Amino acid sequence: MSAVRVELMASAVGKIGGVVWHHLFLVAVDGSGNQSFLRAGPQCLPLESIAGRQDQFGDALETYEASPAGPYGVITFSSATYEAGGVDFDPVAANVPLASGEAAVKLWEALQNAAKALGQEQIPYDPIGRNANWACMELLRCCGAKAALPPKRWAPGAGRPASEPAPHSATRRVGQAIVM
Amino acid sequence: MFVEDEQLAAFVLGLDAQFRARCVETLSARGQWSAERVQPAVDSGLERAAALGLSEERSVLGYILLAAEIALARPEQQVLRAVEAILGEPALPEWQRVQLAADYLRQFHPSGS
Repeated sequence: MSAVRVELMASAVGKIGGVVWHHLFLVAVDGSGNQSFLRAGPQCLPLESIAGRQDQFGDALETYEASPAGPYGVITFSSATYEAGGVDFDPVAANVPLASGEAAVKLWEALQNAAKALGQEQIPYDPIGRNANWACMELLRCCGAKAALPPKRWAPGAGRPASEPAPHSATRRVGQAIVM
Repeated sequence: MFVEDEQLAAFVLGLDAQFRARCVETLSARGQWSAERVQPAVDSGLERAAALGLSEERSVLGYILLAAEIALARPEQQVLRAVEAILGEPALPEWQRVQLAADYLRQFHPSGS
């Protein structure tokens, strides 16, 4: 598509302790008003999350394959038409303009390329660290786009620096024997 | 090796003493504070962490560091309330609560990081 506008979107997806948190993704609009999204997400879900779910082949548990990268697999990117019924579609999502006109064409292309490159890095998906929000902001950093989040929208992971290591695994409990 | 209950209890106390010392050491490294200030701060942090139901060492240590960050940053009341609410979320594992609370603070009060 030939983008005339690129925006950073923040969609409210849940609450933690009553505090609303948001999922970030990118949307481009072409000259005819058609919209496309670019999003990040986990490669898979942990086993306990898919119990009882149905996929296109039936019981999701029957086709489940554990990822060597961890319970969520690696960070993956996808891009398609942004329309009602689609993943992430949210008509009331907050948006921040990133580029318009010729700059939007270049940015959208650069973002697609950055998504391919970052996807090839096979970065393990961490829901509270290097997650979809982190990946979305990392794409923008890779493309040299400085984007502020929409005001008052909490997007966990979005502010995590690229170099910050993932949190280590479980440790001993205070007053108890070592728990690994 | 068979470990008697008393030996085990003594071992656990030793580990806890080491953990407190590690908390003091870690917190001291974050600022130029006197030991007289850091030690009571760690003790009240340990107490508050227990009240929040934090029992993993990494969570407790993370909470103490977050509390120090909050004390230095002095965020607005609404940010503080949200951080407290996230720390108290019962549906999440304790380590995630601490990580997410820190994430919230850093997003809404960047100077605190």
